[in-house]
Amino acid sequence: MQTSTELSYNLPMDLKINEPRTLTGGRVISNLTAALLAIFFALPMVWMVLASVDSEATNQLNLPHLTAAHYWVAVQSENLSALGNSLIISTVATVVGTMAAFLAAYVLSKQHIPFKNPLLLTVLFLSGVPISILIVPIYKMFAALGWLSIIPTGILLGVTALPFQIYQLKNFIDAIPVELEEAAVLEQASSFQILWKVIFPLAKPGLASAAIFGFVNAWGNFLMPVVLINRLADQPAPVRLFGFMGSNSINYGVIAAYSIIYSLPVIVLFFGMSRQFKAGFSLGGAVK
Amino acid sequence: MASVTFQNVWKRFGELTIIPDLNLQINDGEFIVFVGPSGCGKTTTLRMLAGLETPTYGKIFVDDEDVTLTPPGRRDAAMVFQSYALYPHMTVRKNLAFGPAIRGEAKSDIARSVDKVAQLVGLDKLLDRRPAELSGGQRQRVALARAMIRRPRVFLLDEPLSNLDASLRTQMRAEITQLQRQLGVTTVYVTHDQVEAMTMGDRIAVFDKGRVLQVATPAELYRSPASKAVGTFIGSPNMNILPASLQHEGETVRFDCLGTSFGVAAREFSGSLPQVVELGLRPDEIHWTKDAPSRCSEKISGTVTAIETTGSETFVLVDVAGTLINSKFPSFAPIHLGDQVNLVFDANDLYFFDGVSGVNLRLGSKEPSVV
Ligand SMILES: Nc1ncnc2c1ncn2[C@@H]1O[C@H](COP(=O)(O)OP(=O)(O)O)[C@@H](O)[C@H]1O
Ligand SMILES: [Mg+2]
Repeated sequence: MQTSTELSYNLPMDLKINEPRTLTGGRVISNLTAALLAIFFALPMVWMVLASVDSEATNQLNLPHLTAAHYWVAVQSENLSALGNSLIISTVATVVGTMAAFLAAYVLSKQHIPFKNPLLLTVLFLSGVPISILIVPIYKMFAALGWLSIIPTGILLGVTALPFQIYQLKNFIDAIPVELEEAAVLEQASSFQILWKVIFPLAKPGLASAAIFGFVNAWGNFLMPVVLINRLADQPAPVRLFGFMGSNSINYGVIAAYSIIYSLPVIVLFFGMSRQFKAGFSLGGAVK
Repeated sequence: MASVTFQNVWKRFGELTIIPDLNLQINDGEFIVFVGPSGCGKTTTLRMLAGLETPTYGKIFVDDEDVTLTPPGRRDAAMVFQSYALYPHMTVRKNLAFGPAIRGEAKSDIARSVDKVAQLVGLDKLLDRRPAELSGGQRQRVALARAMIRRPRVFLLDEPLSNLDASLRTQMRAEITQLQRQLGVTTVYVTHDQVEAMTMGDRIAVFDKGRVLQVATPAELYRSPASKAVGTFIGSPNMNILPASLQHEGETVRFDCLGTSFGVAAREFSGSLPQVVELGLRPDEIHWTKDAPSRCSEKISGTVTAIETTGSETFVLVDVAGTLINSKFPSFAPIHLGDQVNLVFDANDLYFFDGVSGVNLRLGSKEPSVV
């Protein structure tokens, strides 16, 4: 009797193993094209890394004369505080935008409301309109209300992300079977309990991607803060970065070093949230 | 525990009438089955009882309380959804504890009732799994346990077994009826499967196109179907419908059917007979001449057009003068396609239906009465 779980076979030693051809003309061409495109888009980043440690950095791609001086300048207190301002603005924008979008998406997805379709079309349309085109009236309103400061600007940036976030979240909430809510209703759960204990946990992957969108949208914005924040000390990092380009000289090395530091939080955010995307328990098991 | 009354209940979705004028009484502690083809309004009726849909007209009572407009949470009904509707982000334990926690029960009480109900349905080993990590049958048990963790006034089950494989389905049928008898909670069970209905229900309500055709015990439904529709729906394989013509001969009515002729006492029938009648005859009650009880005196013959063998029995489709008749033969009877066969039946086994309305013309007695 055979004891091992693995059965032993008499392999056909006289036959050749079947192998599909992997090297074909089509493959070579498509991979080469992809490689060229990749190099094209990688070059600016290579420049950024090299220039940031080059004491004689220019706008050319050069082998660096190694130095840490640019980073030293980049982490001076006023530069760091600009990053701090960016963090405040983006956090406010993310929290405000994602929360409001979650509630709106839930209502648009699951509740009966009048004019739902026209409303959704409007939201879709608005997600394609850049807020910059409204900058003049917004400035007027903010000035009149005395809001030309960091927090109101953060909130406004959160609002600019809303239409897209609503769409992102609505897709996730649409996929949650309505029976889950009905089952909760039969257990006497209130609307708030349903939202918090059933919808919210199941929409987490959607919330994560909406939050990232909200954060990046605010983190990269230049125009809103520069127009709507009147204190120089409250300006965020993109405005600071612009400041390194003086009228008669441009400090390339510092720009590169500061840019690298400026991009770090976004990278950290992506890695931090990636677990949510992957683990985001699928709806498996909710319905047969 | 409670009785339930539907009183002139209508349900319309926009211009579409799904339930026209439903009247139904469900007794306290009863296991009633709603059965009918898919799309006939069983789920809609159940959802109206749960409070998830509002009847367009009419009233629903639980005991003597009018609950027509009572929100679902305050009806004290527990429902098992067709899709189970388990919370995928919660473990089995959390799924079971969800309701009690929402209602603010004490933690220790919840833990105790979770353990008790898990024991009852055999889930005690699986309490820390998520629904995605369970098989279909296990999910079904979780859904059942979640409904049973409290003693609701009514249990509502919507086709809970329709997604399970055949052997598990048979096992769960027995388990569910046993649990219900144990708990004694008034239960409404929806299914499209007449076998499930016949094996589980104390009483069965047969639905068709939003109407209740008949409410009766399984035995009554089988023996005295109210109409041709009920007769052909209940029983497997389906009842044969035979064309017939009739003549009055004093106290007797003489029927001619597929070449045979017999008389039935006129007093057997309620009211006067219509011009056109159809006869119903179950496949089990039409026999091969070589395997027939002696009381079978009506003989017809035809050609074998199909044979279906399950092992324990063989059903043979016989073409008798253009009418296909399904008949039960002994298993592995030596017959072949195209054979000429003689069939016999006892006229006392016949059902008589109005040829137009389908109403059963001989309700009640099925005592021997052929003249
Ligand atoms: N919310 C709704 N809106 C419109 N039509 C519906 C709705 N719910 C059910 N129906 C219709 O009502 C009919 C009965 O449905 P249902 O009660 O689910 O049938 P069953 O459970 O007997 O299969 C179907 O034709 C279905 O399309
Ligand atoms: Mg249904």
